[in-house]
Amino acid sequence: MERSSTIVVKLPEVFGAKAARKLGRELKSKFTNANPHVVLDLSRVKKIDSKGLEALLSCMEEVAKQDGAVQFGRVSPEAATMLELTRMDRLFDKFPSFPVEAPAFTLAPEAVAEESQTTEAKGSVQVPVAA
Amino acid sequence: MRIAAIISLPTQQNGEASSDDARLQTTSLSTRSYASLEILGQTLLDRLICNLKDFGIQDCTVISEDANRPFLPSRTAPDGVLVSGWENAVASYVLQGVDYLLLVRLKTYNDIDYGDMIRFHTETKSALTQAHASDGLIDVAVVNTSSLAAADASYWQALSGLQQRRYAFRGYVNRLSELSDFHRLANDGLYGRCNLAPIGEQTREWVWRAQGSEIDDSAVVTGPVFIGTGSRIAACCTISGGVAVERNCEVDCGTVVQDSWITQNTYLGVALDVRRSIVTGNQLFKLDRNVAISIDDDHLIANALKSVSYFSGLSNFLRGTERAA
Repeated sequence: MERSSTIVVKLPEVFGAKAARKLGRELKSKFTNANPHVVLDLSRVKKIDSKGLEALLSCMEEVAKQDGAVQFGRVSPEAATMLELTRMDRLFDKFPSFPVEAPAFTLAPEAVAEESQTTEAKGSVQVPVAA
Repeated sequence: MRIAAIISLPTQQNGEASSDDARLQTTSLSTRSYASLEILGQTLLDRLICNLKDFGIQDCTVISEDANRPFLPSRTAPDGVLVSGWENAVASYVLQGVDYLLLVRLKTYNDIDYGDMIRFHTETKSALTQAHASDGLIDVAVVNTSSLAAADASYWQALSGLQQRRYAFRGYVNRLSELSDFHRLANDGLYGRCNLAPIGEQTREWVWRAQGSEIDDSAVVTGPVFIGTGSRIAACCTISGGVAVERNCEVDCGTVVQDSWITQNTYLGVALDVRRSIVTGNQLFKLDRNVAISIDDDHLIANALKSVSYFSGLSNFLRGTERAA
């Protein structure tokens, strides 16, 4: 039986269009098997715009296609306020989650940070490891 | 007996703003709010002037002053301290032969009965009387102009030499020191816990609507709620439980607003959930978290004067107003 993988993504302080695109690209490349579990750590997020919110929805859609689950990890007060305002907190609450004790592997924060293309090309993302 | 009032609006001096964002925004909101931000349909300054007129005080001067300046000088006030705006206002009223000056600094909201306070002042024959609440002094005082006119030095310095009496006030006082205090004030006004009455017509129990406000038939409005002049509540919105939507706001389709204060000219986008918050311009202050966020997306929260509602055309069409036009 194929085992599911857990990917922990630490989102940057400003989660806008650029960071959202990067998140999408990197998550797609990291789904190595079915039932991926994605934990979005929003503890550092101070500012998130509608492109960022759209990216979270896309992420959820992509993961759902592969019978996986998306869960929020820690959420900063600013991000929580934005998620409540747009009612996205409810959407993610309803999404199936995985046991808290599941081993998790963190993508380097730079992976989804607002940076130049040259930095992106260096590929600072760690490969998700099977749990 | 001739009485005049000097109202001072505290303003923050340049360079004094705190580096902390939330604090900065609080300061900016409070400085704006006294003179230009409406709470339940009227600014605090306008309400005060109306109140004073009700008490028969027609002469009124509004000055701005450094927020850090003490309301009244201490007994050891240094020589040479000149508060030019205040000095000029006092001089003008002394020349006009005014008997008593009511000094008010618009830094707190209170329900003081000015008539009663002036009566107390005259009956006790004191030269200077300052209001005092259970939690400390209030920036409201009455002074005899004759006591000031006799002084050789500046009026401010003369004030420091006067014997002061305290007028005990046990009514409603809101210090407006925290951002949440503004929300509490609007709420207390709506629930009738203070004299800050909504400026509008009470269309049904606990619902006040100012002139030109529109509420879509499909919107659910449960009081206490105030909808300000020219504000529009679009289809399928739910407005409930202590909400003040001030002048020229637009709450777009399907949005829920609960226990919140929406300041004038604010646009709230489609299908939002606004609870226990203050929304002003493109900023949202979440009271329970004590956090402020700025939103750059005009589709979510924006200044109503520049936003475009994509659904308003549809709503108008469905209501048949387009055809009528």
